[in-house]
Amino acid sequence: MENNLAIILSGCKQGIPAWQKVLYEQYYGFAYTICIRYAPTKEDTTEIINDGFVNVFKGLSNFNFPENENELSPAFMGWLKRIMIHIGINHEKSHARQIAWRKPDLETEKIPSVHLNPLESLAYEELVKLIHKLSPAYRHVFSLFVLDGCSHEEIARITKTSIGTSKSNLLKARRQLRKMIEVIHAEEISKYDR
Amino acid sequence: MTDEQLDKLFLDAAKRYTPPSAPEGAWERFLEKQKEAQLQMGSEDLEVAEQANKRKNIYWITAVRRGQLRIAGILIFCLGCLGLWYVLKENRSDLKQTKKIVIKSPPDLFERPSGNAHWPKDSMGAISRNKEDKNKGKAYFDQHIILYASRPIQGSIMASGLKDMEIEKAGLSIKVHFEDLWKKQVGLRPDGLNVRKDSIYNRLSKAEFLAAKGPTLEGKSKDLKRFQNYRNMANIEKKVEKKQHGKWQLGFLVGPNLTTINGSVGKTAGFNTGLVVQRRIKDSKFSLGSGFVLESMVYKMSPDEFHPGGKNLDIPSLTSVSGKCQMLDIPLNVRYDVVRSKKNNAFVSTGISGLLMTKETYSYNYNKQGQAYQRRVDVSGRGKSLYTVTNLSIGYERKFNRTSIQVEPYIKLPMSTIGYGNLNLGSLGTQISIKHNF
Repeated sequence: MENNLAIILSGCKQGIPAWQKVLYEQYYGFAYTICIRYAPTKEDTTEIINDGFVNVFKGLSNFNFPENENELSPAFMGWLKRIMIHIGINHEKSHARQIAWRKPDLETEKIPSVHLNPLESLAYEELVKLIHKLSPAYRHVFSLFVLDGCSHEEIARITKTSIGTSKSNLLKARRQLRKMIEVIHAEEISKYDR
Repeated sequence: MTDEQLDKLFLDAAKRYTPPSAPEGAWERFLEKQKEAQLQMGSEDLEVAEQANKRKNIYWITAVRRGQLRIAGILIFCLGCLGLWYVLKENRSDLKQTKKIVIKSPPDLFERPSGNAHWPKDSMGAISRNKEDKNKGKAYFDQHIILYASRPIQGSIMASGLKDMEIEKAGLSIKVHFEDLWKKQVGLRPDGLNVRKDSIYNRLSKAEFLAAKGPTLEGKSKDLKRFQNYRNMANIEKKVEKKQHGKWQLGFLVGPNLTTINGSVGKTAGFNTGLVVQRRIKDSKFSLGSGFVLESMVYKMSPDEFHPGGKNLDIPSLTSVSGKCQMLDIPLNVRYDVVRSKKNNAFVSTGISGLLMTKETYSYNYNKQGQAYQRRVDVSGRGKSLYTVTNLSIGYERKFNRTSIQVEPYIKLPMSTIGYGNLNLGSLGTQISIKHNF
C-alpha cells in the first residue's frame, strides 16, 4: 500500500475516478475507526466518512507531499484523520439537538449490560457506545485527547473552547466513563453471585 | 481505576479493533453523495473557479509583467544605443565646425579702427589692412579670441626661454613652437611689434596663449586688465569643462548569467537587469561602484547536492532537483583603469555583493518503477535568504562624449550557502551597461 500511495494520490489529484475508488476502499476502514466515535449509528458513520472523502478529494491539491516517500503514508493518514475529525464534530454540531439532548439510544439500551468478555477485553465498539453516552463536549474532548492523541491546545482550537474548559471536560468525561465501566463490572460480578 | 488505566483500556481496544472494509455499494453511494455536494455547492464552486481563474490570470499577468520587464530592459538598452549613435553623429558634424572655436570674442575687448591700417600700439588684436582681410578678420574674430602677442607679452615669453608647448584644447592636441610662430610673422620689428603681412590664421589663439606657462605679465595696466579678463573667462571655461565631464556616472545594465553550484556551471541562462552608479576617486584611475541588480537564476542539481534544512535527502526515486530563484544584488566594487584614454578604458574590478533571495522554487523529479513524475514547491522565505559573494571582473568601456557603453564579463564566488537547499550558489556572465557622466 505504501509503495502505491504516491501513484494513487497522483491519480486522485488528476481526478481519475478509478484511483479515487482505490483510495476510498483502501482507507475506508481507517476512516471508520475515527468516524464511529462521532456518529451514534452506522448510517451516520457512513455519512461522515463520505463527507470526509468529498473533502479529501477536493482538498488533495493542498496536501503537502513530504520529500521522503517513506513519510508519505503517515503524513497522509494524519491529514485524513484531521479531516474526518472535523467532519465528525461538525456533523454532530449540525445535529446537536438530536444527538446531545435526545433520548438515550434505544438500540444501545437493548444491548445486555452483562458482558461475556472480561473488562480488559471489552470490544472497541462497545467502548465507543459508552463514549456516545457522554455529552458532546465530553465526548469530543475524550476522543480527541485519549484516542486521537491531540493536546489540550489543539482540542481548544478544534472545539473553539478554552484550554481550561478542555481539561475540565476531560476530567468529567473520565469520571462518567469510570462510573459506567464500574456499573458494567458490577453487573458482571453480580451475574456470578446469582 | 486510575486515569491511565482508563485511557489504556480504550487505547488497547482501539488497537485490537479491526475496522470493516467498505461494504458493497459504498463507493456508488459515495459517488451520489459527491454529486449532491457538487450541486449544492455549485455556486460556491463557481466562485472558487472564478477565484482560481483570477489567480491564474494574476499568475499570467505576473508572468507577462516579468516578461515585460525583460523586454523593457532590452528596449531601453536599444534606445540608449540609438541615442549614442545620434549624439555621435551630431558630434562628428559639429567637430569640423567647432574645431577651432575656442571662445567667442567679447566685442568690447577688440578695437576695430576703421579706415587706415592701424592698430593701437598695445592692442590685443590686429586688424587687416585691406578690406578683404578686414572682413575675413572680423569674421574670424567673431569666432575666435586671437591673442596677438603684443610686445610686452611676447617679450616675456622670449625672456622666459619657453620655446614650445603642447596644449590639449577642444579635443585637439596642439604643439606650438614659439620660435616658428614668431618667425612666421613677417617683419619682426625691433620694437617688438609684429607687422602682419600674411594671413592672420597663423596667430596664436587666446586660449593657447593663456594655457602657456612661464611668461609673466608686463605691460600697461589696460592690457593687463584685458589679459586678466581673458584669463578669468578661460578659468570659467575650465570650470564649465570640468562640470561637463564630472566624476559621477549613472547607468543601466542588462546581461545573461549562468549559475554555478559547487563549482559546476549550469546550462540554462538566467537574466540580470539593474542600475549602476560609479564615482571616480579624485583624478586617479580608481573608481567606486555600486547599484541595484535583479538577478534571476536557473539551475539543476543531483539530490546529493541539495540539503533542505541541512539534511541529506535519502529518496531513491528522486532523480534530480531543478531550481529557480530571484535575487537582489547590491554590489560594492573597486575598479582600476588599466588603460585609460579619452575614448577607451580597459579595467579590472573586484568587490563584494550582498544578495537577498526574494523568491525560490524547486521541482523534484522522480522516477518510480519506470514512471516519471514531478512535484513543484515554492519555498520562498523558508531558508537562509541573505549571503555575500566575491565579485571579480574585467571590462572595456567606450566613451562617446558624456555617455559610454561598457562590456564587463564577471564571476561571482559564494562565501557561504544560501536558500532552502543550503547551496553554494555562484554565477558567471556578462554585464552590458550604458552610463552617463554627471
